[in-house]
Amino acid sequence: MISLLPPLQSVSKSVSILFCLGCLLMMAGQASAYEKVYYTQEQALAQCFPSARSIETIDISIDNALKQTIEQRLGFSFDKNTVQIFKGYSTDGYLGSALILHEKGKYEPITFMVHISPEKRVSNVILMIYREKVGAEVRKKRFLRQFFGKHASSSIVVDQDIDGISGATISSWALAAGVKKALILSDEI
Amino acid sequence: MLNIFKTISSVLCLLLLVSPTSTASAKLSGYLDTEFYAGKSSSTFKAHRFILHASSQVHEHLFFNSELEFEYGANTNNGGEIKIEQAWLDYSFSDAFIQRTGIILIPFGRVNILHDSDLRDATMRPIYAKYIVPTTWMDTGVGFRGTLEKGDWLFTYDAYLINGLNTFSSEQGKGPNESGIRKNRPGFKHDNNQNKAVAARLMASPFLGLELGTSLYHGNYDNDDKHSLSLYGFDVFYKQGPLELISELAQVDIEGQHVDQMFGYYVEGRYHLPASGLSFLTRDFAHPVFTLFARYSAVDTDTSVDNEYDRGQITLGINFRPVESVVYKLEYEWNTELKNETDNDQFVASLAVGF
Repeated sequence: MISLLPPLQSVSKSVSILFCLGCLLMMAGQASAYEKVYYTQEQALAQCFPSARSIETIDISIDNALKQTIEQRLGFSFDKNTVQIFKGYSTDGYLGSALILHEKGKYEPITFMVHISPEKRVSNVILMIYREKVGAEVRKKRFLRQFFGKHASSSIVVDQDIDGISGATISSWALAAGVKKALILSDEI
Repeated sequence: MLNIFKTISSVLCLLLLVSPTSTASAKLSGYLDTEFYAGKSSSTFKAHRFILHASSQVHEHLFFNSELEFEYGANTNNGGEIKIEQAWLDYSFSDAFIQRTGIILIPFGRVNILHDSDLRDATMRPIYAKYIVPTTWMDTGVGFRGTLEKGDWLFTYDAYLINGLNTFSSEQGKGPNESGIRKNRPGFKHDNNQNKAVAARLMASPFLGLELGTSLYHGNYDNDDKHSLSLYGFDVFYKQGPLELISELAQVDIEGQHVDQMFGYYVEGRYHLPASGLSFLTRDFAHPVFTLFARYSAVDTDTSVDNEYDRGQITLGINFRPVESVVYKLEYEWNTELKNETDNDQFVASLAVGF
């Protein structure tokens, strides 16, 4: 007898393919699977400016000319149109600036704050939110303090003046790239 | 072929079940590698691995992770495999104390844990990881892990109770002195004896760039529950600028077999070179990198017999990473085989993509 229906296996296979594609599309738009908040913005600012009497928040637009200058100094692309900078002041004067960066790790952005002293050197790096399954060792002081004292002309490149972390290489690169961006932004703005 | 789609569908169904709640979201990632081998008598492309990682933060303190492997196109009638390499839940009390249950990777040395193709610089794992520490080695069980800090020192520990390695079977074809303990890796349905095995690793890192590890495995392997198999291992990782040195060694002690001891090790050096000057190749990638690597690995799967069961392998290679998770690899292997084996020196090339 000739069946007008397709073989059962063929139907199952087609349904499976469609189902898989549907699932992938649905998951593609979902939020990060893993997220650990170590510092909120307020807590990170308090770490950077413990003696501050006031912290000024400034929103800055990045025009094309400035973006080009930043990219030339970075050596790679810079995709932000606006930047928020925090400036701390104590009774004795200016305490420096702080920027929040969101640098892509292997899959998700790593959120961290870079504190730049009035002398335009890195004085603190605070990992605020980590969203990867592995590699959270980049939040440890023994890694982050490698950035202390760096300035806009420093290399800040993994394997050159920054030692990456085994098993967290991409996160190490992300932190290094973010610190370099923060210094150049602070220098140019 | 139908099995592939059934399995993928099952995994994705599972993900969908855990994902759409307000507290949990699922993530799919993985890696792919495509390889080319050229030996003295044959050459071939291989669709070696397609891996899916499905994970979900079920709750702030509960994290699920899994690794599903499709090997050789998952064509189970022609050498392919579909297998779960990890599927566990972490119950996190603190960074220092995390309880893990499920199908776990055995925490023995470095290469079994960091086995993903896009993480490794060479296509081929050292022969140490084939005969002595049978990578990828996973088992079902329960245990604890954590990270501790004291000043600049960093410590990690892993300790699990698992079913343990299986017995040496006459059906293996080769005796233990030829195949090592690779064919003793356990299934997931039931333990072959009442004894449960322990597997543990302790890592100490006195400063960034130096990691020292020691690993232990002990358990009865035979169906009669009378004879034990133990592994003791040490590993070291050192990094200074673009230079990395890594080494592992392990010894296997076996009761109740004509082979009572095996031994193996490898030493690998890597040197990273920035590739940003080669604009025709590196496009606008932020940090393209070449890595040169050299490795020597040796195993002796019966230390009571001089030279007869010794294998050696020298590997020299280079790879290019336009981005860290994509790596094009080239290497050549010089192998010292057993007397009854044919010359298997070979050229190996591959692409590994983490996604």
